[in-house]
Amino acid sequence: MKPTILNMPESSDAVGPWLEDVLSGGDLRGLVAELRAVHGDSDDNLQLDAVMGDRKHAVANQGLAALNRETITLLLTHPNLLLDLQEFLIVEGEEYWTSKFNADTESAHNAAENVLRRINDEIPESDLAIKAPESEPPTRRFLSLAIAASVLCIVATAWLLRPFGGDEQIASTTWGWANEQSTPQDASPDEYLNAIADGAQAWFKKPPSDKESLIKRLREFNDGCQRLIEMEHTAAQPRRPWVAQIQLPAMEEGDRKPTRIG
Amino acid sequence: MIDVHRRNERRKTVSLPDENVSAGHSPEDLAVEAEYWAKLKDCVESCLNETERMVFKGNVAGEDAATLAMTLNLTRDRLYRILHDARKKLSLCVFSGDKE
Repeated sequence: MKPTILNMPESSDAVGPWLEDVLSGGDLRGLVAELRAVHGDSDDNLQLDAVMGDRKHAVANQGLAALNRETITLLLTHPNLLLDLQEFLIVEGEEYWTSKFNADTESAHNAAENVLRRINDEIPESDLAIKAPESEPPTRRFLSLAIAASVLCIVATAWLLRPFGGDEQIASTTWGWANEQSTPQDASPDEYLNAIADGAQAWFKKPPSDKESLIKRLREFNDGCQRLIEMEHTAAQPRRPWVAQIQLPAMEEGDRKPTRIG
Repeated sequence: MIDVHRRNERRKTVSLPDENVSAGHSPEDLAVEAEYWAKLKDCVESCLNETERMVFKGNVAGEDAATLAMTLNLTRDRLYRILHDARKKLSLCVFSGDKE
């Protein structure tokens, strides 16, 4: 058993850097338990946001040097907040913390264990099926989720902003899939699909510079999508004549298999 | 293409260990830890005198040494000396069971 609390620096100026090391991979769980033993049960209603206030993001960026001594004292005398802080830093910590967490695999493993324990406390065991990337830092995982959420938002916005009078809009839009050149009817199947792909690429040709132009461009893109969905793609069909023979029966709950006729 | 992507994703993932049976945290380890924490709590209350306890608690709360020394009417050197003694007593108390 290694007592963490007995190795705390004597000088209060050195406590911040020492605490950073514990947060980023030392025995934080042990320290929290030791601090509870010394200070007694603290006020569990105290929230990390209330303690750190507007310095929270500065801490994510610069480390605990962004906090004054009183705030560090509050964290040490309410040790449960240290677990909240570690979770926050894993999720939202900038390069400063990422490099600390990645300093060695044991550190990352300890931090992950702390978070997993907390998740176990909050989620029923039957619902727990967590996989963690071995090489990717946790922040990158959340970045991927954020990007996926952003894409979803854009698609949802495009859907919500779709015009009710779609036909008029299609007529006025001249790029992407709304342009007839993206679906050449006299082309071979390969050329036809390549033309459709080129039509999708047209989105990137004119990046919107402001909110209004983004809305306009999303509407136009939506018009193109609508045209592509509704039109008949005869040019793509000759190589697969059997596609025309597939007839979808009236769908019932749980019935998703198409029926081939003939 | 999608299958290749999925296979790569699978290769990159690893299951996190179950709670309480991970390396270094067997049930026996957890029992030893719990005993240690209880002992530490008991020793802080029983083996330190009032001044030692205040100095030690102030230190582990990250309080400024100069302010703490002034509050307790001690010199800074004396404060560090008391802190050193308190840690020594706690270490002895927790790991050998001796209480002074």
